[in-house]
Amino acid sequence: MNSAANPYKKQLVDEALIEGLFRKYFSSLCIFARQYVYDNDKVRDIVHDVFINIWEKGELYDSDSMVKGYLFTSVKNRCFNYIRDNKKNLTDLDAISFSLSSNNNENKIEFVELKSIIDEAISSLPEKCREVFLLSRNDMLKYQEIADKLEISVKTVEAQMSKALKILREKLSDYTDLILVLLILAILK
Amino acid sequence: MNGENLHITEELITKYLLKETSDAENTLIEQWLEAAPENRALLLRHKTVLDMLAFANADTDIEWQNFKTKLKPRTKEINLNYKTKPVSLRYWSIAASVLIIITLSIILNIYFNKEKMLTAETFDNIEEIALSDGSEITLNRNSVLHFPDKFSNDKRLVQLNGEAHFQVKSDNSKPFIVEANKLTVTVLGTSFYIRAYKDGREEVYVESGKVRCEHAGTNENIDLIGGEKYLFGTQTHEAEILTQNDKNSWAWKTASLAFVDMPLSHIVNQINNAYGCRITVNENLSDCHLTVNFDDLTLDGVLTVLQSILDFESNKEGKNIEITGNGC
Repeated sequence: MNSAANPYKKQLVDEALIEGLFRKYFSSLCIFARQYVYDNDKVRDIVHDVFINIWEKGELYDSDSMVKGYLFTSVKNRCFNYIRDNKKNLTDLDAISFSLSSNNNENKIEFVELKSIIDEAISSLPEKCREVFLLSRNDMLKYQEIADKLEISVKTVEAQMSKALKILREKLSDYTDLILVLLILAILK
Repeated sequence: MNGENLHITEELITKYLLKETSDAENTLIEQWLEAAPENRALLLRHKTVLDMLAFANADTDIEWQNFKTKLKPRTKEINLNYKTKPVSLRYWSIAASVLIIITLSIILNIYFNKEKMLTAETFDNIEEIALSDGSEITLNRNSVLHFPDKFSNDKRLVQLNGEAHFQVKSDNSKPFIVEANKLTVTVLGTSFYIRAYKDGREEVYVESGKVRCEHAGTNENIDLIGGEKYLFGTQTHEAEILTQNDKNSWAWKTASLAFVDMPLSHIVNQINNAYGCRITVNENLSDCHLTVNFDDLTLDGVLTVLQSILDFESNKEGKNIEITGNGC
């Protein structure tokens, strides 16, 4: 095997490497994990554990695409292990999302960059709507504060926020809807 | 949907999740949530989007500072299997290096002839690996194979985690050994499949030739010949003859699927498994029973055959394929 073109070639892991990967992928991995695990703290733990595991192993693939594949695969496996190990504590919804993933013979992994889908969706919002949305979600202002700042009514803020989230929900529906559809089917049966 | 009379608007759900609601509104929402489980699901879907947004917006400086404290100094020394170091530019050191390399390789060749272990790992792809002895291994999705760059010992040893097809070149002097979890499969030359994912039971299916399987966990030691399979953990200690259904479950490699009077939901599961796709069928179709063969087809070919039997619409987005029809 030619080592120059070998995608399985390893590199040593130092703190700078971990930091670079963490900064690059933390958000995307959390969003990805949030598809499967509803508890935000647990999502963070799972992503942390993957990076700690790389640190302790001390070696990692050298190729970017292999690293990315490895990160997303590890996060997904840990999500499924978490769901499996906590089955009895879970809500119906989690249980269904688990049976979806385990019964479907679904070996495939989608490394969809939900982060870029989200960024695109936000920039596609109508101007007023985006303004209200960013004040709420980036600057963490309350409805009343947004209304004061933009000199509009609180009702308008409510309507714009609801509209913004509706648009985002639609753009992300592929990643949030499947579980919902299955839940409703299960209830109807 | 139940609880509609409670008049819950999207604005109100959004307000509730952003903690902008009054006590009275909270009570209203809680009643609505109690009224029907799908209301709770709807709320969770709204929350999922907000949570994803929060992660998208995460401050990586703060997140990194918090995480950094979890990194403890490593105790073990890390050595890479293969690592390239930049060669010093000074002539004398190049000369010295060459001399050392020549000396070392002579010593290594004479005394050790050591195997260097390589690793192949698949995610959502299938990979073919040619070993130095001419054997060929096809690695299914989400699997890992450790193998030496050359076989220099008296046996040919590889390690598998996941699923693979082995086409082993015959060499009576060097048995070929696969270690897969607690299962050890020893062969001289043959073709066979091993399924040994971490969270499932090990399974071996022999296409041709003869293999010996030893399982350290269940103590099931069994010899298999062509056409036989064995699922470890059943404690029957007897080989089973392969059924058509079993053959379908190895279709990721054979690309050959056959069904006799099976429901579409089952057929679709097997197709998903074989092609690494995600086909969903609507309820009107899922119980339709079909008798159908697919031989060496692409996924599009499979869908065309299905569509010629059942009248349905398919909507393909990447690996997600949605099939909707009115019935059989």
